[in-house]
Amino acid sequence: MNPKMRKSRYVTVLLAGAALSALASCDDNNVMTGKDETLYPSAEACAAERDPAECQAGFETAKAEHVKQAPKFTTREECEAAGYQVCEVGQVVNREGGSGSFFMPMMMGYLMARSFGGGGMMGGYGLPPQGAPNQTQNAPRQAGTAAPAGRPVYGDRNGYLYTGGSPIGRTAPGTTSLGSRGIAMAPTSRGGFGGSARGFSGGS
Amino acid sequence: MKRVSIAPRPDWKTKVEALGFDWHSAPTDTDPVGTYWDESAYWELTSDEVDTLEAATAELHEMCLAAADAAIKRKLLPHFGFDARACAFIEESWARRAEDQPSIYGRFDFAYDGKGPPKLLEYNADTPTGLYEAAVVQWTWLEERFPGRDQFNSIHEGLVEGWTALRENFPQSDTAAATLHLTCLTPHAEDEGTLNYMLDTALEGGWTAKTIAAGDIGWAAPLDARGELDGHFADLQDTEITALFKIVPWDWLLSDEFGPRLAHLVKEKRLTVIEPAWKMLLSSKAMLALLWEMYPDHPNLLPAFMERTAFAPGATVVAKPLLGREGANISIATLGEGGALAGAPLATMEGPYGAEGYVYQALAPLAQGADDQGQIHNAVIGSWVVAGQPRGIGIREDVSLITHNRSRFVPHLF
Repeated sequence: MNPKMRKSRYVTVLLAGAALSALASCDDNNVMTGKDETLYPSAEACAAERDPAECQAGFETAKAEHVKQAPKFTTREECEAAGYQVCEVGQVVNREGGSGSFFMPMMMGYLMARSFGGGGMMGGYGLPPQGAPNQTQNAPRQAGTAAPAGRPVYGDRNGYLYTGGSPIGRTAPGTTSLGSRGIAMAPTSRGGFGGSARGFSGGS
Repeated sequence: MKRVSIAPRPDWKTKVEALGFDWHSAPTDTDPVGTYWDESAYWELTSDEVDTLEAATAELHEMCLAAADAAIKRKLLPHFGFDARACAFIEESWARRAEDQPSIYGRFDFAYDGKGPPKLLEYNADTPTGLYEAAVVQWTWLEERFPGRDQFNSIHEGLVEGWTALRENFPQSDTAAATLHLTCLTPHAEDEGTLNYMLDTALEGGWTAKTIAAGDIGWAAPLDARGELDGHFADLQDTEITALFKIVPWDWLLSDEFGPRLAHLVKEKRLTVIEPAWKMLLSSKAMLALLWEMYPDHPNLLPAFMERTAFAPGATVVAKPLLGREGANISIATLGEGGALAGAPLATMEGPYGAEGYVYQALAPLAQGADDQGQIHNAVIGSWVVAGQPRGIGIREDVSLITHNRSRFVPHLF
């Protein structure tokens, strides 16, 4: 094509042409919102409020999940330089019996659903955490309820708390401990935009 | 500027729908066909006319930036239709515009018949639309019907380049990898389609990006919230929103329930919004009066004043609400003594705007062309500024003198 042409050499229409209704729904807005969850700093803190066996099982699930999910670094300095408030050492043992170590942000606590409804999965997570194969062996099961699961939580030096890489909330910057009691997670509120739309397009 | 009639592609509807352009028609009770995309004609420009439009666009963009600077220095913002809080917010956004208040696009509307110079009608700097039609739909039309011809339209490439540059310069945060969220009000086929196209260009520009309906944006409060401004916006997966492209006017967002929180996060530099808040200033039609004061008799400007008494009796003027959109509340009338109306208005358009005040601008002749039935069509040229550069045009047509949200989009070539 003539390089002096003033028209685009190409256009790409990937999603625009896919007739997506991606914006249409918020049916799933309970997923991972932290609604109906309590953040516990330890299994002991959890046990002060609810079934200790449930708490312990949730803690172990979260701990195993934490090792899988948390970002890993080869040195403590790198881990801290990446912004994490407190880093801990982790060990890996390979099949041949050799071992190595790595650093990752310390698990500051774990999330537990506040109650277990009858049937189905708990708390709107949809699925139990991957990599929790021992869950059914470790956790006491009640008839008609899902096994309790815990989601690991770690923090950065700005006070942001994460589970599985997604920010879930924020506490004071520099917080290294979540205290000794469970914290009810603030639910996310939605619908604060759109009230001024007046039925017109936003375009001009 | 010449209007040429041509038979539409027999399967045009299927072809444009395959592009995701599902707002090509807007049927109503009185107009059951409701043609919006109209390829029963095209506008043929000359190469010189394209050069003229490009130069005018580049110059006017610079003039508008200079006028915005002057408006802030002279503390004129209260005359632009904004309340005191919005004024302070706009001033801060302007002061930080090179730092973390980036812009990707805007659209000038011109009256231009190819005889005199293009005349600025307005600058849609905050929420310009007609983007997908201009960037993609008319381009695919040209490539099919006139592949050897040219079009003033590298809007797509401009957007991709713009997003790439923005991604490279985006202030990195500790808290989240830079994900761009894109939002509009729903349900709205046109805005959603445009948003999906913007998503495409942002992805091509290297962003991690996702769309979210404005009503789905959440407010996540921290565990130890101190006051209602303490928290962040979150998407449906509760990921923090740190960069937000929006097809929602800033003045609407600020007056929503989440408005104070939005302003707070932007001030705290925890959220970057595109277009930035200072674009509100360029979008206010008070800018037309300020431009005329700063650049009197500039060839690309029309006489414009905040008071209609500034016009001589006998002048035909257009009253435009300062924050109006899509032709709403615009009226055209001839003035008598002391700014009073002489006779009935020549044209009026209803709408929800006007309480914020009006600007009055001299009427300019639009390009006109007749269809095969002899009906005259008036054309307005939308000229796109993408990442600060003139990148192409889209033409809207109407049989009325006022271009509005149902005015047809007609392709062009040269």
